[in-house]
Order: sequence, then structure tokens, then C-alpha cells
Amino acid sequence: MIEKPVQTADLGNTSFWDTVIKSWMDLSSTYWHAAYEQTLDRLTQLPPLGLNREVNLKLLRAFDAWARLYPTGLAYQQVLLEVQLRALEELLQTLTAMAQQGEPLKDWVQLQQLWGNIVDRVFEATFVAEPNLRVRGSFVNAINHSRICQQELMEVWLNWMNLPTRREIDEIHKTIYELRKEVRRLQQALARDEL
Amino acid sequence: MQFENAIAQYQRATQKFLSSISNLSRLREDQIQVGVTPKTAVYHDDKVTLYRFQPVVAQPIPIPILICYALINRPLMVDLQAERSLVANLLHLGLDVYLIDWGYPTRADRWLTLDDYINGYLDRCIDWIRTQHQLPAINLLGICQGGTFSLCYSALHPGKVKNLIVMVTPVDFHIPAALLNCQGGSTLGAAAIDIDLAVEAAGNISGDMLNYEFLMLKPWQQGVQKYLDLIDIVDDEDRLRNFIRMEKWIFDSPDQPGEVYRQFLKDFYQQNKLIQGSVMLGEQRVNLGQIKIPVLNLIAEKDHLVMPASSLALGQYVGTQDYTVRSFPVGHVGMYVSGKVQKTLPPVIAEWLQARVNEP
Repeated sequence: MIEKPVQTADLGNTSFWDTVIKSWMDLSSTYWHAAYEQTLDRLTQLPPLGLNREVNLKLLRAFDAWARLYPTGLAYQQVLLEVQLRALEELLQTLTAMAQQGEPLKDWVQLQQLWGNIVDRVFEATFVAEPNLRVRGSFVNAINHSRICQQELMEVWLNWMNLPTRREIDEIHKTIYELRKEVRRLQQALARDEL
Repeated sequence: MQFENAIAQYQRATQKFLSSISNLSRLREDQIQVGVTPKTAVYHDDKVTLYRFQPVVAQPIPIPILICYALINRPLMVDLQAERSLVANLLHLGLDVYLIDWGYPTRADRWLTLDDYINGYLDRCIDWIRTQHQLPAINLLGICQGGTFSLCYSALHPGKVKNLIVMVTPVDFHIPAALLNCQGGSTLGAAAIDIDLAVEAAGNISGDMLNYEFLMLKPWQQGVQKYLDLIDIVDDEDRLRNFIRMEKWIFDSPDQPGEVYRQFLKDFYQQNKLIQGSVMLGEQRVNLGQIKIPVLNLIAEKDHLVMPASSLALGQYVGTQDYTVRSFPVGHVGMYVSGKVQKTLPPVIAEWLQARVNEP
């Protein structure tokens, strides 16, 4: 089961944009809770019955994994948005400070370099912070979990079509890999004996 | 900056870009060559190829050097372009240079382990060179992840390596605030990335995914800025070729065998076992204290992939009395392609090796 989205790190004072993002996230969270967790989520947790029990279970799990990808992705997008907004805020502060010191921008190249440096620095500072790293991790793990569930469904279809599955091919590759190692060990032992 | 000036600059940049279209249109993909120094494939082992570069001096230093590159990206970074080639410079300084090319692992290689790479492929390449040159031990130059492999190898096979050079090599994987390490789980473990889940989902880890991870360490600089900077060089054909050569190298990324990725990320990144002396390769435990041969540690001061502190940690754990550190004011990739570094780095390596040729 994938973890529920976690709170992002507080990187500074509350601004207008923080309020906007928080409201948006609260709204999404409310919809998520009402529209999925209270309804379909409960359905996907029910044990299926009958001949197609196993297939239906895989289908429900794949749907659940795909649905749970949504809030983790949203939380990750929120952090990325915060990076852009904080970088813009810092850029404006820097430009103001430069203007006050009588050092206006020389050209657009300087502006773009200044902005780029700030964005990358804010991005790095944001994602070494553990809460944000956790948000990113939840998203990455949810993607992989969803992918595994999709592959399990695909394997059902491949079985129906009498086609080899990824799991079966992996088994063959593993057997070949182990046999090749065994052959190499035997060859080395033989070479030692011949000496 | 006044509005009129900004418009005028934008117009100039646009004109420059348009007038440079002819340069771009003249270039062809197959004209962009990497790895131009003459070399011969001397040994094959599965997908691994051992190359020997053609020596350019009559009497090379009698102990050859083997370059062990990372599994990430292609090893020809050390020979990207003729005038800034680490390999070419080492050859001109009298070294006999070999290079391991790990090849492109496919799904059939997903079960290969670090033990297979280090105690298998690397060991057999070294044995081949030792046999050909009738030497008990050779010099080893490990780069980036290849440096970590070389450290493990030297600790486990001390009699086969005479001198060890490691370049931009991660040793301590828990350096604070290192983004790559944090994203690999150095601080949060599986909460940052569940490696078992990733390997189960993907089998081998795709090179494209790893490239995306590396680009996202500096998303603006790597994803936007460098292409904006391209406008400044696009009317200079040589610089444009160099830029595209670098693009070609960066995005030519082999997939990582699943089991190798699993062990490297879990044991090294997440659990930092290398400096704890608890990495297991097959049945053997890697203890850096067993490295008693001379070690030269080469560091890039502005490296954002392998933090200098990560490489510098080696001094605390290695068992040798002959330990040298040299650092260069460039980033990770700058170690191979910076014109200034290519004037100073190869002589440092050659002189350090030359000084130890006659030592037992």
C-alpha cells in the first residue's frame, strides 16, 4: 500500500502564493477523500468472489494503485510549484537590492543567468529537505507500485494469449546466468587441475 | 536594463541564431565522432570489451594502466575529442593505456551482480593484461563509480594492483546536503526511493531514467541554460561540434543491470557500507583498510555529482601510507573536457606513476 501524501516542508514565511497553494491542496485533498477514499477505495479493498476472483483482484489493485498515484503526483507538483514561486520571489528581491545599490541589470543574459542560478539553488535546498524528499519518494514509489500492478494485469492477458510473460523470460535469463557461472567455475577448476 | 536595449539584444540574438542556421544544417550526426584515439579491442568477455590504445612513445612506462569507468554513461568520455583527450595526453606522456568498455547491458544481464563485475569482468581484464605483460600487478585508474569498483577490487586483490588512482570517486555516500545522495536514499532510505520496488518494476534501470535524475539535480542549468548558451557558440563550428559531441555522450546511457543497481543503491547510497567495511562481494567482505598500495585521489572541487567531501573521506579509511590528494577547480565533467585541466591533470598522473615505477 502506498503512503498517503505528506505535508511539504515549510521553507519560509507564509505568502500570498503559500495561501493559494494551500487552499488548492486542501480542496484537492477534500475531493480526494470524498470522491475516492470514501467510495471506490472501499470497493477496491473488497475481496472479489467467483471464477474470475484473481483477475478481478489484480484489476482492482491496478486501479487502486493508479488512483493513488494522483495525490502523490499532486503533492510533488506542489513542491515544484513552490520552487518556482520562491525562486521568483528571491529573484525580485535580488533585483530590487541590485537596483537600490545602483547596479541595474546589464542585459537579458545576466537576468537569465541570475534567475537560473536562483532556481537551481532553491530546487536543491528544497529537495534535500526531508519532508520534500519524502513527497518525491512517495511519488516515485507510487509510480513503481502502479507499474508493477499494470504488469501483473498484462501477464494475465499474455497467459490468455499463450505468450511468454516477463516473469517467465526473467526466469530463463536467471537460469542461463547461473549456468554460465557454473560453466565458468568448472572451466577454471579444469584449468587448475591441468596445471 | 532599458526596454529598448532588451529588444535590441533580443533582435541581435535572433539574427545571430538565424545566420548560424547554415552551421547547424551543415552538420551531420555521423560526422560527430567520439573516441578518436586509435585503439584495438584485445579481449572480449560477454558484452565487455578491453581496449588497448596504440602507444605513441617508443618506450612506454613498463607498467600499463587500466582505466575502469563507471557503468553509467559510456567510457569514451576519457577520449571525447582529440585536443582534450585524457587518454591521448596520457599516451603522449609515455603511458601504455587500456580501457574497459562495459557495453550495453540488456534484459538478459539483469541478474549480473557487483561481484560479477568486480571479481569477474574487472578481474579477468586485469589478469589478461598481467599475463600479456608478464607482470604480477598493473596500475589501475578508476573513474566515478568505476573508482568505487577499483577501491573494492584493490582491497580484495591487493597483489594485482601496483598503484591505484581514483578520480571523482564517491566513498562516503552520506555527505550532508548532497542532492544526488539524498534522492538515492542516503537520509531516508526506502522512503526516498524503494530500490526493491524500482528493480521489480523495471528489471534493468533505464539509462534515460538515470539521465533524467542527473538533469534534475540542476534542472535549469542542464535543461534550459545550456541551450540558451548555445546561441553564443552556434556560429563557431568547432565549438558547436564540441557541444553536440557532449550531448551525444550525455544521452548515450546504457541501462543498469537490475541487481547491480539494487546493491549499489542499497549498500553504498542508503547504508554507506563501503566506509563501514561491510560491503559483501560474493563471499568476500570489502575492507578499505586492506588497500596498502600507493593511492592517488583526484578531486573536482565544483563537483555536484560526487561532492569533494565524499571523495576526500577515502583518506580516513584507506590502509596505505602513500596517499596523495590533488584537486582541480572544475566540475565532474570538467575533469575530462576542461582544456586547462587537460594541461595539468595528465602530467600529475604520469609523474605520480613514474615516481613509483621502481618501487617494489
